[in-house]
Amino acid sequence: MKRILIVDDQSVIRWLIRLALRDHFATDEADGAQAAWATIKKQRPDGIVLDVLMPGSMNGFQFCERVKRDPDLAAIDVVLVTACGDENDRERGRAAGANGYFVKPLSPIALVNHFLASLDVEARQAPGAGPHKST
Amino acid sequence: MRFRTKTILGIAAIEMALLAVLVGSALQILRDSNEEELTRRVTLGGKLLAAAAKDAVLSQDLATLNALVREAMASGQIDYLRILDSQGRVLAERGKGAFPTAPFKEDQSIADVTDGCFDRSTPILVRDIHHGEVRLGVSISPLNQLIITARQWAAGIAALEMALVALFSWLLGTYLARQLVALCGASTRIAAGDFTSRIPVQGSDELADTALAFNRMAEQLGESRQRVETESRQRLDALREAEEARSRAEEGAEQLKAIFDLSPDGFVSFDAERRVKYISPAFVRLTGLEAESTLGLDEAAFSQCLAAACTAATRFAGVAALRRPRKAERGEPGATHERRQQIEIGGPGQRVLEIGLREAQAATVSQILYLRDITHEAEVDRLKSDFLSTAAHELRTPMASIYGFTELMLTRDFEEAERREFLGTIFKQSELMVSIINELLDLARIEARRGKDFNIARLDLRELVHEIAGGFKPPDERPSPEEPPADGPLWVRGDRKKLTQAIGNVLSNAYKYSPAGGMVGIEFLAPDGDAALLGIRVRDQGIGMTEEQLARVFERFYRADASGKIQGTGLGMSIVKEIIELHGGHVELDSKVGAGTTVTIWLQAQATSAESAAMANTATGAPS
Repeated sequence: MKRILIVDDQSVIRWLIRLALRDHFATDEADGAQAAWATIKKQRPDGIVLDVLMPGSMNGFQFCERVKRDPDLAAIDVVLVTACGDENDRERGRAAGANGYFVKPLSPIALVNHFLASLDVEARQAPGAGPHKST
Repeated sequence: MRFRTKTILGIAAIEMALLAVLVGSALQILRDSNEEELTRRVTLGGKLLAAAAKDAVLSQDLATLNALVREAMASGQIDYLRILDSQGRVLAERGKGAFPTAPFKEDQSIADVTDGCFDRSTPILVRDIHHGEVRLGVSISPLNQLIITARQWAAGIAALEMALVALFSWLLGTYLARQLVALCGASTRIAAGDFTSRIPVQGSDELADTALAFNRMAEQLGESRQRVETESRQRLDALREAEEARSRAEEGAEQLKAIFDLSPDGFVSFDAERRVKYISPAFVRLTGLEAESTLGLDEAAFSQCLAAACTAATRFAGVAALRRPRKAERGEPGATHERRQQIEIGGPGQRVLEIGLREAQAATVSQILYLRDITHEAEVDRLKSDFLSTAAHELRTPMASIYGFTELMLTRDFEEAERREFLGTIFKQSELMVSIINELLDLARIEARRGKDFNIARLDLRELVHEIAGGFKPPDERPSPEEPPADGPLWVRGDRKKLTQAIGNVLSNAYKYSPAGGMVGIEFLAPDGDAALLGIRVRDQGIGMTEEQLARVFERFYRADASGKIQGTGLGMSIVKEIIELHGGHVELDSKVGAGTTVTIWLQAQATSAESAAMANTATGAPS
């Protein structure tokens, strides 16, 4: 089972995403960049759900860049989740090498579908509703 | 000597000399001719008588001789006549008066006459033999009388002529002198500047011509003087105008300099060749560029210089980029809008500047670059923008839970226990959203009104806090906050509702951030000495905060708890701070991680004097 790391400082969001992903993926959680980096080093995930605005010295963009610069980790599918939906932030996300960009409130189903597609996982169980991707 | 006198004297002298010569020579000629005539007559008479008497003498015929003498004397022209023989005996004689007694002496000329009678002797010769002689004398007094008369006439005529000449020359001299005096007077007047002076023209002589010529000259002098005066006046006017214009220009320049010097905005002016001509003090202050290093630079070099002072992100694009499009390119809509750029000056005094260009039509100034310090505006904008994005972010987070859980519940099947848990989360996140919106609105209202909507009255702080504590419902059925024992009233001035909200927020935080329980206590701090402040202190035994967290407590949306376990908007303490500061008080914080936090609100005490009591009576809603 492929692993997804959920990085968000808010436990309720981490819980929501974990719930959404639990049928198809194994999940790890981190409440900040530091914890996330430690988790990645311990066990390399296949995908990362990354909150952009996190407390601490490193935000989501910077963390994403760091992952993408690392040759061992560059292949990881990184999805940025943010409360800021403006074009500049999207551009920054693209520049940072993110594979996906979700704006809060995000659709958990769309997030699952993104990883199912990108990580080429066969859906064991079809989602109740048709997949719809947040814009 | 005056001209007239000179004229008269000159003419008189000449006239006198001429008259003297004329009269002298005329008299001389008259005398000479008369003498000659007399001499000739006497000589002829003598010869005639000698011839007539010759025969009688020879014959000694005395009767004939006497008759001859008588007849000769009858002519009346001879004074005396005597005929002598060869021995000198008188043969016949006769005379008008007495004979001359002196011995006879023949006069050769009138000049020899000494006795008034011209004496002449004529010999009677026969074959050159002397036979006797005829002596006769003619008086010269008629001749002298004639000369005297002639002299008198000449003198009279000369005197008359002299008088006439003197009169004429006097008149002429007077006339000439008068004209000359007029000429002299007019010249003097002209010399004194009176160009209207004219000489009266009389007659048509040379003087009249001179006067005419003089008048013409005076007229021309007057005209040319007038022309010169007009020209010089015009020149003076032009000079004055130029001077005025110069002083106006100087004044303007002075004013502009003062404006440029005083203006908080920076200015750079470029000369006709688009070289930096002037740099205002504000420009130097804003950009840190020195006048010495920029004056005289051309546009491109100046742009580079300014760009080098900018941060990399907002590098100055150059003066040329600010220039309005040329007329030909103005067809497109919006092309005529002034172009401005925002730049940031790096270094310690980081500033945000708005930079624009004004093209000038003046000959010496081609364009003016102006810089406005918008650091503050940019900061306000940034804060506003930050606040908005933070607020949006804070709202999106509970929204994300509500949306996400709802979608999951709609698309997947969950067990009943999980479903209830999700619904509980959705409910809590909805509550949070409502709180955030309410508190945001509160904060916005407080900031906008700046205390103007506060209903200020005299309040007993002790009574107010008791009421708040009594109405406060602690979470998880924890005990109410501990209050100090009742005592006298503590008067403050304030808005009851707002103070209730602020103290309520502090109490709420005290419970929230002591999730493990523990006492929440309230105490009052009386004014210390003269300090006119009253304090309410709320103490908890909760999780406490680090120094870093403590410093950020009053930031909007800042929450000391990052775990998400403690519900909150991050706006509560901001609201407390705003309300207390608008009351003229302040908030103090003290915290230790794991030991709890102490929040002290300081408010201005209401003096308990008669004056304040009187004020209290007029205050509405004040407890008695």
